[in-house]
Amino acid sequence: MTPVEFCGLRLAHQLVNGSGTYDAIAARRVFGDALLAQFPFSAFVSKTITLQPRAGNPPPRLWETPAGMINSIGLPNRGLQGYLEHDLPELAALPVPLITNVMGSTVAEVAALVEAVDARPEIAAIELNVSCPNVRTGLDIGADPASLAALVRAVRPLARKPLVVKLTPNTADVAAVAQAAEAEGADAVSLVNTLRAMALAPSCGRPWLGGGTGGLSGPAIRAVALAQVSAVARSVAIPIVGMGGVSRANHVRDLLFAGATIVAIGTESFRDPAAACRIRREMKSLQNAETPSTSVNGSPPQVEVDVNSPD
Amino acid sequence: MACGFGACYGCVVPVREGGYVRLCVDGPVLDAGRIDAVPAHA
Repeated sequence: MTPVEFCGLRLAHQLVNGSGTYDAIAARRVFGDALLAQFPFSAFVSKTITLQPRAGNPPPRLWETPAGMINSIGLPNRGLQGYLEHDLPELAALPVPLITNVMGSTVAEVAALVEAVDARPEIAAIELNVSCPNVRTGLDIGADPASLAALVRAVRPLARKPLVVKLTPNTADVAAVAQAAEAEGADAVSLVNTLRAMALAPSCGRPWLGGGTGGLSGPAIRAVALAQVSAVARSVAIPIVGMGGVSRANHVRDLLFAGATIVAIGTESFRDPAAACRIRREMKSLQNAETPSTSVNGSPPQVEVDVNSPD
Repeated sequence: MACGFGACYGCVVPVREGGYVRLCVDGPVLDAGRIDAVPAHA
């Protein structure tokens, strides 16, 4: 895969991770320095960091669906200071640019996070998680173009680094929200976050997840993601990080065709931590298969895997 | 369990000292006395 420019960052290829779906510190503990030699992503997106530490939601936190999973993890993290002191030195050792994802429930909270993150040279870009209720309206900030515009307007001047807005699919008109982000100076948008979903405990009919509801991800949401990325791409000129249910090279290709500049792998990395490496190999085969043969013996290039098989 | 290597935070159980531990990397065997109440339907 060829290098790609994203918000002024030169990335070695088009695959990154979705925030919260790949813990590089845990992975390095398990896989050792081999992880650094063959890091799966061309940029690393941190899990969401909040101003104060969070323990996360009470268990159960996961429910499997026929083609995906619902999570209600609840953004456990050490808080801003813990992130800067404990996590950042380890993440800065990764061989790729670091994008730090932050979330706050008020403009002041987000502003404090953005300022602190922007001051750190180890961090290449900032991603705003706006799937957080507005304390005044109760609506997710990212579900309402006016709320999102106010937030981006307030924090944009505080950051010299590229600012990526992670959009929620749980809104009536994702393109309108993307346009609001672009109009207020966002450098890129990323989508989709998880779709709000619920599961009931078989024994008693109460919500299974400790958080009540959760977010659906995995193959089940890929067609939704494709439609939303396509709608946003037709509405904004800034680059798009496309994601949602990607597990094969042809899924990456679909999102690129729909208008994404780069693509994130999420839930599939839980099933296979090396999934992004496999998908990159598949993409090479896919490109070879689509390029007229230039091999010496004139035989068509061999495709290692059938990347066009139905899911 | 989603990942099995400490990345997803899906397998946590509450502990008496506060917060949660991940069964996949902090367990799978834990001192039972350390574990806080787990919801009955789980």
